[in-house]
Amino acid sequence: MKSQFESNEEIRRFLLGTLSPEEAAEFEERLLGDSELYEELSVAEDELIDQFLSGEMPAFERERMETHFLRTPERMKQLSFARTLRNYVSANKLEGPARELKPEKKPSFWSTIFSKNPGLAYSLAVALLLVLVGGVWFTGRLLNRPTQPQTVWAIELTPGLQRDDAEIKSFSIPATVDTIRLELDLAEDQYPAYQAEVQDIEGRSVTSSKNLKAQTANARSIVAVDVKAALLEHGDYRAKLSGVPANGNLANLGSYPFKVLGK
Amino acid sequence: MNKDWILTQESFEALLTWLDPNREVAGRKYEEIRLRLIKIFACRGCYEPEDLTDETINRVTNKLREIGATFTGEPARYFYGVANKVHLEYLRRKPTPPSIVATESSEEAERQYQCLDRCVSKLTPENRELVMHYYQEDKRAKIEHRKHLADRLGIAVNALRIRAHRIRLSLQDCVQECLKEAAA
Repeated sequence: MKSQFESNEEIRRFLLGTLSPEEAAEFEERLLGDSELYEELSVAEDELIDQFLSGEMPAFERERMETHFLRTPERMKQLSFARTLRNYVSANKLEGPARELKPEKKPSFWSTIFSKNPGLAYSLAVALLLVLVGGVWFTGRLLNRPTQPQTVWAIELTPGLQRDDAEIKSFSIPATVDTIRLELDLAEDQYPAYQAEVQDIEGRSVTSSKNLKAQTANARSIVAVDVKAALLEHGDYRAKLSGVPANGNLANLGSYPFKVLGK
Repeated sequence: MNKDWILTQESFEALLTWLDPNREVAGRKYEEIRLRLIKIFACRGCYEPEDLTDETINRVTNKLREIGATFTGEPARYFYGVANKVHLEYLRRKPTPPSIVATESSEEAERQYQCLDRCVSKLTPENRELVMHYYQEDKRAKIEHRKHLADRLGIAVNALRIRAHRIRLSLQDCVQECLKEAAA
């Protein structure tokens, strides 16, 4: 019988089409009659897609994903769904453990101590009251302060050739940053409005913004595009900028490649 | 491929009877075989796994009169043999990749996101929290996070994987339905 690790490895190789023909045939015959194996295979499919999207995958496997695994419309749909789920979870991150996952309640260390020593309990209660009064005062001071703005990080981008790595601006996103402001360099402000779309390496839209106006930053004309940091994972992207003339016919103003190295 | 032969209701009934005398069991077996064949063709890198599966099922159904009385063993094995022939023919045709639309407009992405939001809100609170916690982290943090989650639930990590996967499948189906409704 195969270990869990061997089974997972075999399933992964089957999905990526790297088992030998004999191994694959043997695996397929098992798959026909084994419901658990079928479900494991489905789970592994989702995990492969998630790893592909997060950039955790070695280059060889990534290449197999692109040339072998992602060949069918159904799997492209799975990829698209996985990307949406990923963005959704990032944007709606839960804090702390899930409600239903709370461990069983056991008698605490303090309740054990207090039941044995009521005097100690009284002294600690007084101390706690003092801390609470101080806490209320301090919280009041904090609430009266102006609210902290979102942390926005500006990245200056110039239009460039995607294939030339030297041209591509690369950066990591600090954990404290909420929004990345892409400042797209304009050679000349010719249009009353602009629109921009940020796409990932596969050309899928990450976000888009319409009715943008040209601004001046450090004596340069730019168009600023705000992108939520949660939408940007490790990987290559480009911002496509278009000018919107009065007649509404879009003019392509170029592509601004950039690379997110991580968070 | 023989696309001229069409699966009639009568021949489909005969196929179900061959799979199992109990119609409910037969229906389940049929669906299991179909899904596994689709998976096998997809994992062999075929571009149209559903079409190849339909062709396999058609051929088996067409052969029922010849094999029905004499064949012994698990019908799935017979399907597998026919699927191998269908696959060989497919390879001989030197299939060209279909035009899969790799790009997705921001409107489509936005619609899918809205549908997902609606589908997540239909989950039970427990399933919603599980799925939101399960898919939260990346890389090493993810492994630790899931171990921790499994411990809290009092189940093995593998059982947690499967539970999260089933919720994900239900969400994916719900989103597909929602997108169809939006397009209608």
